[in-house]
Amino acid sequence: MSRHPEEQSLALYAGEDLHGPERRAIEQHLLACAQCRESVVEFRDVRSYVLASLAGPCGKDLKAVRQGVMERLPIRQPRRFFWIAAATSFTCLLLIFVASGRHPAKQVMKPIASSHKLSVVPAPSAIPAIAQNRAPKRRPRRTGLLNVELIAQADRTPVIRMNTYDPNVVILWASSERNEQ
Amino acid sequence: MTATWMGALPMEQSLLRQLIAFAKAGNAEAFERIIVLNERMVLRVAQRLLLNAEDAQDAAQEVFLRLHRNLKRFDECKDLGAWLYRMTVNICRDRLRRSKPHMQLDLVADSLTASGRNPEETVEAAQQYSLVLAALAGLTPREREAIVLRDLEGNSTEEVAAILGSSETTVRSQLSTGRAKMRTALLAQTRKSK
Repeated sequence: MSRHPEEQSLALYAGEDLHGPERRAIEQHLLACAQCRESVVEFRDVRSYVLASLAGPCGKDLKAVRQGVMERLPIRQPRRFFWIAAATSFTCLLLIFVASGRHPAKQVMKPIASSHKLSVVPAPSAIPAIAQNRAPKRRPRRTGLLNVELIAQADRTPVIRMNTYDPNVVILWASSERNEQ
Repeated sequence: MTATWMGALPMEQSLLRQLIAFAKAGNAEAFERIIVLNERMVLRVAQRLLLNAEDAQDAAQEVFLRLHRNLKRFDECKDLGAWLYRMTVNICRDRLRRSKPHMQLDLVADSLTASGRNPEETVEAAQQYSLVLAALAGLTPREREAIVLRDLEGNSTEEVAAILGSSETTVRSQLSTGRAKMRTALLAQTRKSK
């Protein structure tokens, strides 16, 4: 009978951690040695015993771990920039809305000919047709251009009057060329 | 079908990859799902390395918090199981270094009492359990790591070496010494009790 292998080698053999010639040598020895065979069986029994005795973690502990982690996770901080931008946008929109309600968008007509130029026109009070409408009226719901009319008088600059739905807002467009249409 | 770490099937691995991708994008539910899939393994290993229930819970939480911190850099093609094993071992090492020299063996397995055993069986199971814990406590931290990862978790020697960051020869040496110590301790205890 060959010399007994070391206990460490038997421990490795029992745990399937030996390969090649080392493994074959121990296998050869075990065929003839009951004492070493018993040692190998004991190593395997110990492993089975340990595996059977050690219970895994219980559900309560697992839940505690999960909850602990989820509670300690860093919550995403709300971005200050985002809220500043949102507040600014909202304010701008509000201002635009208020402003557009008081001063409906003016529609500018394109001049018929390139020679047309804007000129200073007399105050609305000078034009009887306009003066009639000077009294402030209730603001209409609709905005925009209501109609366009041409006011042409012999001794005055022709004026294009654009009435809007808001009686307080009238757009006047005068040409410097008197005889042009 | 090839099994990967923890015996997870490739389909589970692909699911895990998807969950990691979602968690990277900030999905908290996906991250919680990752925890659910791995918490048992992480807590089990931490309990067996630290032999203290409270420390093990703290260590397991730390593992997942570190995972969350490193999620952006984590490559989902890599094996999460191996990463978690490595992280668990590292955190447990740190805790053992900082802990008192005499560890408390206060692991109480609620499952021992809650598995429908009669009182005698429960007492016997509890005794076995404390014997095994005492035997594990008799190992050095490195030997315990090798025994837990190889014999209790079922990883190969090569995988254990990769987790522990050491050579296979070192792992074999730790395994053989650890197994011999466990055998001596448990046989002595069982003979005493008889």
